[in-house]
Amino acid sequence: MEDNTILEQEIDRYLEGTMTADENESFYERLKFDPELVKEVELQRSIIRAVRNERLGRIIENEEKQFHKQGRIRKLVIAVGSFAVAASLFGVFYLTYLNNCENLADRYYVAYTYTPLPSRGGEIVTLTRADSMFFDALVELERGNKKQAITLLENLHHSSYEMVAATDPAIRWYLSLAYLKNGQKKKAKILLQEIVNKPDNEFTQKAKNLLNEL
Amino acid sequence: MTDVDKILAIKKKNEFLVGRIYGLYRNEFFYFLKKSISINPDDIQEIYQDAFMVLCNKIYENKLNADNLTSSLKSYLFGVGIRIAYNVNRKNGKLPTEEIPETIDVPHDNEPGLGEENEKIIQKAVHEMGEPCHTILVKQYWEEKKAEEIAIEMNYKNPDTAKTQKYKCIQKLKNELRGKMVYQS
Repeated sequence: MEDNTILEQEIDRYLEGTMTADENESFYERLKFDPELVKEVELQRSIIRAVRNERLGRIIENEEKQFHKQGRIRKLVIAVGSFAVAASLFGVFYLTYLNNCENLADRYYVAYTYTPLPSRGGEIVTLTRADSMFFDALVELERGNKKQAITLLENLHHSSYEMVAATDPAIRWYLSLAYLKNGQKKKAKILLQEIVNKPDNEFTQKAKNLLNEL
Repeated sequence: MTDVDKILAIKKKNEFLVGRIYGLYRNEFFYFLKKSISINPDDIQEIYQDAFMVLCNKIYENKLNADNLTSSLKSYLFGVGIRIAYNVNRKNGKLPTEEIPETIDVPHDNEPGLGEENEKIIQKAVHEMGEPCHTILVKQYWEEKKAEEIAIEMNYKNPDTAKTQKYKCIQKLKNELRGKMVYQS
């Protein structure tokens, strides 16, 4: 046991390079003629290497984990980035579309003029509540409150209120413009087609022209 | 960071910098190996890890230092890597048709060693070593602590007790290994 310990100490010092020149030379000479000593040196060298490799293995493992984590983050960033780009492109496309629709509606929008019919025998023709709703809707539309205008005009369109100033084609026409301003092209087209299909009125030609442009 | 700085960082076992140096050439090595030799992509990571360990051990054993480094550290590492890759191919029965390109600096491996199989057995035995032996060997051979420091840190009476304990551990390990190792006649 004692001899072995001394030998191992010697091997350690030889491998560490801490022997004196004389000690080193003498140990080297022994190695030349002692294959068992060579084996012992190699074994001890391999043990030391194994201890180092174990620690290096842990460092490498941590580094690999970082690489894989970074890889996952990169994939996530690419996915989120792609989504953001796609969403931006869609947004730009949609805004352009809305802008085009709104511009078109603005070109066709003309304020509704109502000329009261001459009264007969002093009878005063007063506007109904539905007429007020209609004019309110037009005010909202001019102010840019498209949704409110649509709500009011849709109410009128689906009702059978008595009206003096507003006509059915007028309601359809302004509702179609409101839809168009709001980007609801399909609904606008249906209403315009309905105007065209009705007997000739003041909105027939305008509806035909707008349909052509759409 | 120059090659000399890198060698010093590895020599001093600065674990943070050793990790950084490992990562520094990793992706480039993967690309280089794919380009240089027909190799199974699944093997590349292991080849790089083995090459990096060989490089570190050369530095620890003072076989590679700032004075005898003839090419860059990267070329040396890649050279070791390509030698390992050729050996992997050979072992898999996939002999490379092409020779190692002359432009690649392949370091010579002139150590007889104990053979790959035995190295694996030793690695496993060290990994499975019980306490306090495992800690003592790590403190001695990785952290390069003196017997005095080991004695204080591990509550031994004195440095001699620490030394005796260390050699007992090595002898125990060697005895275990002698029964497992394969010696060529």
